[in-house]
Amino acid sequence: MSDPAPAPESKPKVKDDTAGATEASNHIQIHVVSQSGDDVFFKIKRNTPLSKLMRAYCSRAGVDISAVRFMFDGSRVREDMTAEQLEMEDGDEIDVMAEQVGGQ
Amino acid sequence: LEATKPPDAEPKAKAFKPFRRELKLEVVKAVRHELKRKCKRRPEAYRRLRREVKLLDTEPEPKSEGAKLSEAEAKTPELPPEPVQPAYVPLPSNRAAVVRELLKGASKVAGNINGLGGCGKSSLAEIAAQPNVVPMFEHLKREAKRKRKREVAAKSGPKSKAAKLLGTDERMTHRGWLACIKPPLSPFEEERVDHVMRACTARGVADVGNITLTRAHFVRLEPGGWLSDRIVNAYMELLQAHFNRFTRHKVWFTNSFLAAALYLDRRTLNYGRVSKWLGNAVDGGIMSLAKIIVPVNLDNSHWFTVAIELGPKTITFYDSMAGEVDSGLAEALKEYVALQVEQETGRRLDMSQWHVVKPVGLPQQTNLVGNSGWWVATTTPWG
Repeated sequence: MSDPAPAPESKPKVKDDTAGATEASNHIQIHVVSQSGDDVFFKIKRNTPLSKLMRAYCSRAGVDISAVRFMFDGSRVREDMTAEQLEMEDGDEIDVMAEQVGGQ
Repeated sequence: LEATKPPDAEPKAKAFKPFRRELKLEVVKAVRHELKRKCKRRPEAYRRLRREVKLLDTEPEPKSEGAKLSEAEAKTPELPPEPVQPAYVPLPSNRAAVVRELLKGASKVAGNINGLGGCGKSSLAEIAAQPNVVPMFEHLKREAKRKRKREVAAKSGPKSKAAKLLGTDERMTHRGWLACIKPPLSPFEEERVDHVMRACTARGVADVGNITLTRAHFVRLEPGGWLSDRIVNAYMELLQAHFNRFTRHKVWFTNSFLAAALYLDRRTLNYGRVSKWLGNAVDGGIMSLAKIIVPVNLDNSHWFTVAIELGPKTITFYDSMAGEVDSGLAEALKEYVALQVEQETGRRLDMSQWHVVKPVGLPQQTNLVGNSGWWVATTTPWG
């Protein structure tokens, strides 16, 4: 019973110690470049799913998320991917491409 | 699936047509596989699938010419010299090899098929490997029509389900399609197919690489539907996986956004936007490649393919629409190759020796509203 009591006490301490050190390096700036060349940048944590960024961009640009594709260095970015997985660095660019249809 | 072979007299152009239908068939197959996984008490569905796969395996090569070509290519790593105006050569058939290979085990590219027991990886990839499909659907359609005529003449007897569905309208519904596939689906199976194709709109049906295909995308494969970039890019991923396995000289299948990012979006050359793409996708860099296949979407209305061949130094436009090649795009692609080589080796290629060609004898769309998407998929000699 007495065990859980000290844990909450020590936890915030640990958080406080590391937060300042890691958060600076944990955040990266990512440029989202549209097809017409407009550049919007976002700050995002390395381990946050990029869906957050995508949704933010889409609501800002006023487009439906299903109508655009996000590409990083030629490969598609899935919503559940994080910057860490994609080995993104500060200042990297994500391309936004419009949906393509055609054929008939 | 009775492997109903078309009469050999069938014109060549017709043999390419039912490609998209075959893909739909594969969806059905995938659903059946899901059945197998989910209800073990129906082992006959699984057995049927095995039989189908076997049938496909043992299917004789429809074009011995093409098969010889593929063998020859496999033996000699160097590229055969190509004329400036290459004649159109149909893709060699090697579906059996792909199916076998994919059924063997984990394919990383086409893995993670949600809810389909992993069999989707064989389905799409099989299609990718085989455009010379059996026009089973055409055959069934013809039969159903004939049957209907007979029935109308006799004015008696109940129509078959397929005839009923086919009779009134040429345009096929999804359900009508299913009714035409032999063996017909049991009501239980149909329910499940409906469930996948209709009910779960947002859920992914198959993951190909980074691309999630949902029901909405498969619906685009219905006759009359336009292709979206997802389908095209998924197809490219599968072709890439296939060629990485089965060919000696390396081919890079780009996604459909390369042409857009490089040139078409702004109608000016933007090498900076795509400078890293090739390096990320291809281990050995551009110098290790024999071909680059670039699917191009033109103004959201038309698909065609450009093949950049580094050996014979040609840029070939496989375009089902008659007319001049887009010279701006051709120049941009030339420049792309030059800059890519320069980036990797520091040496500038002499691009004046490169040719831009449109091969003679390509099957052309007869009308403005053909399905160029599948046309692209089926007529480009990928290797």
